[in-house]
Amino acid sequence: MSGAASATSTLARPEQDPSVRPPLVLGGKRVGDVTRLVSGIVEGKTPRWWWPVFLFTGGITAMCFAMIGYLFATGVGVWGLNEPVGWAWDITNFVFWVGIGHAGTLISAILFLLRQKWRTSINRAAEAMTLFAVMCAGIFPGIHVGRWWRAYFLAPIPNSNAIWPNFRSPLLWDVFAVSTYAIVSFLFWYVGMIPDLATLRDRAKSKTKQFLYGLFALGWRGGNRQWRHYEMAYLLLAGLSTPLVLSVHTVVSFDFATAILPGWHATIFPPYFVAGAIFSGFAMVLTILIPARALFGLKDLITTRHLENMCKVILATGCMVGYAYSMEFFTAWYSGNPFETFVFVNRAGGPYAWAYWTMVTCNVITPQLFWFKKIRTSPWLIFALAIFVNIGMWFERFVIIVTSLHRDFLPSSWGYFIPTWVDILTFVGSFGLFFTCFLLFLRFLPMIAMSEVKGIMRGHSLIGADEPMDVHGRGPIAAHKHKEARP
Amino acid sequence: MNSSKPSNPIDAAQPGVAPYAAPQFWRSLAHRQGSADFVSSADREFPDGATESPATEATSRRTFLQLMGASLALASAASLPGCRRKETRIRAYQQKPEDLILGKPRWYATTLCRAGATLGVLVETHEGRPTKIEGHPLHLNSLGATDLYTQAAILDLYDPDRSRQCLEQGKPADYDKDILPLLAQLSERHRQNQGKGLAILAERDCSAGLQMLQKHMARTLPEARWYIYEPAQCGGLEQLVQQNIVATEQGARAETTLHLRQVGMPVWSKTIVAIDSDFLGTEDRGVAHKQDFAHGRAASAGEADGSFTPPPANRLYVFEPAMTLTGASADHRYAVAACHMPLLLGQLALALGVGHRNLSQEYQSLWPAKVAQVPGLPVEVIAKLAEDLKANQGQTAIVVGRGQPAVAHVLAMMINKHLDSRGVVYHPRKQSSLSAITELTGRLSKNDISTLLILGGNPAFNAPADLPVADLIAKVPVSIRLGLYEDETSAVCRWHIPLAHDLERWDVCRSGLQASIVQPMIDPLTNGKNPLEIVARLIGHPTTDGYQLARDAYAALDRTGDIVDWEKFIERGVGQITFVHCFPDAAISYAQVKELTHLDQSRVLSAEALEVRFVPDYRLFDGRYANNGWLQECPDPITKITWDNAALMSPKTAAALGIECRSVKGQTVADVIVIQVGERSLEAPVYVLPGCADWSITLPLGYGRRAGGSLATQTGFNAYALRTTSQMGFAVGATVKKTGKTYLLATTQEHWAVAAHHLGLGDEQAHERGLIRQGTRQEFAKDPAFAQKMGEHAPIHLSIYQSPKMDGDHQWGMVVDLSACVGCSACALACQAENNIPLVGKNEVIRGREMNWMRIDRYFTGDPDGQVSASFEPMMCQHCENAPCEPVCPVNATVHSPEGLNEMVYNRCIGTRYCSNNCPYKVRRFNFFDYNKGSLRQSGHSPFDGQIQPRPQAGFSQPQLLQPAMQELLKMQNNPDVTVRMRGVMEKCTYCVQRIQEAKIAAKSKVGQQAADGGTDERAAVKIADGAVRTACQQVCPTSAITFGDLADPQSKVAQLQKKHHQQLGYFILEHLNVRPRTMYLAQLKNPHPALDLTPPNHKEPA
Repeated sequence: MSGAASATSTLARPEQDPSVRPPLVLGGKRVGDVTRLVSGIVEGKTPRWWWPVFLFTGGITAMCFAMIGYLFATGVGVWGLNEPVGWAWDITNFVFWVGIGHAGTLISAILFLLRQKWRTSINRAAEAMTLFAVMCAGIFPGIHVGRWWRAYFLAPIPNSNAIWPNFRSPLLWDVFAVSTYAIVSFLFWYVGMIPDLATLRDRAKSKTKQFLYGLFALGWRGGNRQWRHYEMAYLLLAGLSTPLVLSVHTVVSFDFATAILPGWHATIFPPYFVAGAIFSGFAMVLTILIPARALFGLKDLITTRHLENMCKVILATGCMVGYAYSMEFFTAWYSGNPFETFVFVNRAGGPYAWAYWTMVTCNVITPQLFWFKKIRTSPWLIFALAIFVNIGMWFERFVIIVTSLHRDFLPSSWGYFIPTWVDILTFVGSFGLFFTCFLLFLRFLPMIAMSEVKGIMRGHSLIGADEPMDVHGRGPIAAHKHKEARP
Repeated sequence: MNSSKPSNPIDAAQPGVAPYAAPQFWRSLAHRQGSADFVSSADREFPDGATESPATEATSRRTFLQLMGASLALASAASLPGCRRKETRIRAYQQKPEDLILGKPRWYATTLCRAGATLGVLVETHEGRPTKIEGHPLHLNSLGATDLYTQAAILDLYDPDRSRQCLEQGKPADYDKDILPLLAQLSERHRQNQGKGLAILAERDCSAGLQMLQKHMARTLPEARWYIYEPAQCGGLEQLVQQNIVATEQGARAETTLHLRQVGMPVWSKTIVAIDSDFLGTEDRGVAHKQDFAHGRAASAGEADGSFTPPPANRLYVFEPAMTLTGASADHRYAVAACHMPLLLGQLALALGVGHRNLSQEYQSLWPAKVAQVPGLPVEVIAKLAEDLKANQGQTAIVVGRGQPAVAHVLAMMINKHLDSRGVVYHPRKQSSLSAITELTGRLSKNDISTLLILGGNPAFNAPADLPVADLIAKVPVSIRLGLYEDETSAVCRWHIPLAHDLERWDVCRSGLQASIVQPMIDPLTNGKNPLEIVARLIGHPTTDGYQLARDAYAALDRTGDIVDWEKFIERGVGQITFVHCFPDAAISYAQVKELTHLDQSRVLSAEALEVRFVPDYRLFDGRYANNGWLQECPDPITKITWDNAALMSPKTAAALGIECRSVKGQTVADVIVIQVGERSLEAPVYVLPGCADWSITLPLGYGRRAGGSLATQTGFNAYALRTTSQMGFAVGATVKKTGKTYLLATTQEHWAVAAHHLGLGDEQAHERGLIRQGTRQEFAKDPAFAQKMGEHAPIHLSIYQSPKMDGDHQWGMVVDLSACVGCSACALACQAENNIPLVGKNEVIRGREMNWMRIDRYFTGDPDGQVSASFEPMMCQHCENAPCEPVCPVNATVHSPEGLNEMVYNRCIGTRYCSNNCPYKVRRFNFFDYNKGSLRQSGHSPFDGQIQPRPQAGFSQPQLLQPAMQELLKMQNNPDVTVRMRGVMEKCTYCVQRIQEAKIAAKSKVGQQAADGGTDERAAVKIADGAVRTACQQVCPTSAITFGDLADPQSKVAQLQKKHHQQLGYFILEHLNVRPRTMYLAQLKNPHPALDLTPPNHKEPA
């Protein structure tokens, strides 16, 4: 909890004194450097790599929409679904993306409330990632229904038939949970960005940019009262988001837990899903930030320590997920229910055993490597392991959904699911959408919360007249807050 | 003929239908008077001025732009409604026929005929369009029940692939201008030469009309010949007929049919032995056999109240080379190769001491020494069986399949006679199929025939492979074919005439004690002609009108009983006639015994000398239903294969030959083999089926058609290619080679194949999970509640949600009696016909998207290398009171009715499929595409994508299945009382809610009528009488395995059954899930011989 900043003498060897926290911004950066560094990404010339990558991901996005168009025109049959397996990649992708969407808000809200200052360098990007992931997630339930043109039946719209949605259905809970989460996450992200947008507005050289950044900066002047209101709003939104982080995936897990299907019907699902979501969310944050920090030269802001912290979270949640896997087996055996037992034996040894063991390898074994500090501090190794975790978490959802469905109660209706090319391309396309949005974010919005980073910088109080560009920064107020935060 | 018109029901319903002469229609008085103005205006396509340019002078640029602009605006305005769903108009009657109530179906009696077996039916017609066929309760072959062929027949009527026009050498011909003069000319020619060179080849049928014409022909054209060929009926008995061994009292030759039922008598067969005979399956009178068989076994029978005691049951022993429906229903079933059956029968005869006079000694001297044992059969079985037969002397029946050699039939006749079992009677037949086709071929090859008329049938496809029938027909100067489809035979005939469907023509059928009417339900849709008319014209019969011919034929019958009058006969549909049957006095000669012994010694089967059997298919029969999509997609009751046939063999045989039928990613991938018999060979995929005799391969007939419809030509392989005159039932000495190719089979159950060493995970699970509960009568006597101890415990009924209020006047429920169910699948077809269930095609079945609301689950038990038995379990929506599908639907599309029905609101459904995921019975079906629109091909999803290359026959254009006009034709079959579901909607069994509503309306209007008459209080609760509502599956079931009714009415049969069996045989599947189903199953009771209990019922000991 304690502040890290004031003891300058420990800068050189922070590890030796555990009571003293290492600095969060390296390279002797001053607050002006932070502004220049982060705003420079937005203001500078488009990097040479940006356009090809953007065109590539944009093309994939277009393919995603082409697939959706084909699906809409033809029918759900273009996917590989069948009679026992009524959900497969559609809902797998949905849960996968929603899970990824957890990291951002967790970093922003829960770590904010817990005063984890290291969050400031990564929270903006993580929140943006959350939004884009929730966007990708939202697509799948919308398009997976058989009559998409009647999907509005899900909304509680007063109508002449006086038919309401069925409030007992977890799918409806999903609609509310995910849309609430999306809205609150967006507000949280946007409100947190207002001071930085004002900075960009003030630094902007073209009229258009001034107008646009000015429009979204909502007339931010950095005044005392504005800061007071702003901080209160931010705190409130953090408080509002925190239960949502837990509730969204809990509700998503109800899609399965409230069903009577063996393999779905389990009380362990809510905590297990939340842990899994955080697990996958942090993996995705790492997957994105490791290349981004290298490409934009942000290694001093997003430091190895940040990466290491995230690895620790992955290790912890990975262990929880592994515990849940083993506990499912234990419950199945302990229940003595032949249906339940069969599902888990079939999961590990049936036709989808390959998927199950992929999942276990990626999600339980891979994160154990993070026990080693050497691995935790090697960014590209982390990147590779995070990819494994992403794969593993997609398979976790696939295993839960498809292996439970494909062999359920009556052996006569057992089946098998094989994805079609439309399944595959739609899923790949959703990554296109995700990365396209993220590229646009990197290019046009401040990817690091400048004002917040400055607030936790060592020596931030040294802000002086040599920083003319940063008059709308938050130096004195952040310092004030910082002092208060001390025990 | 005119006098009959008012009472003819068809005329009232169908103003356009006139069975005798088409009325002249006129468009206006001017037309009728033939005025010059009308003639000229009719000749021109458009009225005056319509084709002139709107601008009187040359079109100016301005006018052009005006016109184009206006057209564009109009076109876009017109296309705006295109954003909505297309609206179609309902065409109303301009003048409503008298006493027709729109929306209220009418029922007419008629008869369907298949291979000489008739089934009296009632046809439901809506505004003159037949939509559903039910059994005729007064017809003795039906008693109200039907089979799957009958259920599917309605689809044939509307088949867009049916032949629509007369053809001459493949080119369109006109019936009036070309065919009629031709027939007149031929008739004249043959009148002069006494019918020399004239031959008619027909199928076996029971048409009294054709029999009358046949007699007329014999009288007037003595040189002409009438041949009857029926491929499925060829076999050993045919040889027997040729050898003239069996002679009836009348001196006619005889053919055997199993006849378990004696009209007006209880069913008395106690011990039934089926030798390679599928009498519950494809044999004639299958419906009646099933009824008789189940009569003594059903647990749903018995006293009306009190505790349940099972009625005395029959005991069925089955010896068969491959699993059949009969074998699945057996109490004792043994897999024995077809060629070993005579040996088995001989041993049985010996054990019973049959044929003292001239046989016993020869037997004893020949048999026991040489062949000790029937391969695959435990030694003690014959002795025990003989013991059982002797104990029930006079109440036994030994039935032998058609494919068995003559000697087997003779032995069976002798044993039956010895045991005094008069249940097996023989109908006299004048001619055998095999001799007919052989004789005809002989005459054709001698150019002895100048005029050949082929009525139906398809000899070019299904004649024995060693007879070059097709080539010879092509050489006949005048060959005329009357056929439903332009098929293989049409291709080789010079002339083709479309045949009228059974529901489009007049005739009279006779079978057993009854004559029954065949009357048109609709005007011929595809210009089909009544065969009576064509034959009458050809042979120069004075009457050429179908209706009059049928009437004359009826008049010529030896009628008895009360209904003699034609009008009454039409109305009632059936009338009594005298019945001719016989009990042949068979004896076997010493020479035959020697031959028999000799044969058996040569029949030692091995991997190098396999046995190949030819059996009619459960779906396509002999191939005649090959273009019927419902039957093609109906899973084979045993193998669950759709859209194909496969060579069936036992796991052991397959393993020994190195052949596999694997499961790859849930799909059944079969090895393709080449079967070599003599110089003939055939490529076929293999399906490994438990319960087959070792070294015996079974080939279902009827697939691999080369013409005759777009569905027929794309499925399966043609087993007729191996079937020769000497080996019509089975051939011995076949060899098999692997080709290295594989083939994808579409199976609806077990999307994985059965491995050699185990039966498949699913079947073991089915018994472990208490899904199929089975016991013996002995077990039941010891512990009547044995079924209650299987499966999981039922929980205390708890729910966090308030249960739906089930406070309706009726509470619908069902009981399915597994002891009665023989797995024939007629119910599944009936459900399809009643509920407008679409076809999905082979590819979609492979994907697991079949739409059947009702399926028959089949589970094997036992050791696949030894004793195997199969059980069937009809599975449809269980209408759970605490239905798991209901709370999960986010849009309230599946809800509970006050009468306890789990209802599906199609308009509300958006297709999340969550209900299906949460349904433990997996009975919900999803429209992944617009299956009902038949738009599969339009969207590039052909039902046969990449499966098989179509095999069009040269000279025939492939009919376009899904042209819009043809879709209209198929739509005519739809039941107007049931919604046609669109893409993206979930659907499932509704307990036939439309029938419930219909009965309610009828009951209400009756009460209303009584109230209006001052009788009762109109507001009194309207109760439907028990039995007034019958679900489609219940109605067709020949064994009455399904009982449906009102649980709230304590007097109803279903309520009494559920009460009676509550603590005995009754169980609810997956009851432990607290879903509280409304459908109760009654555990299956088998009746094994106490000393021969070799088929242990597979269930857990009570814990």
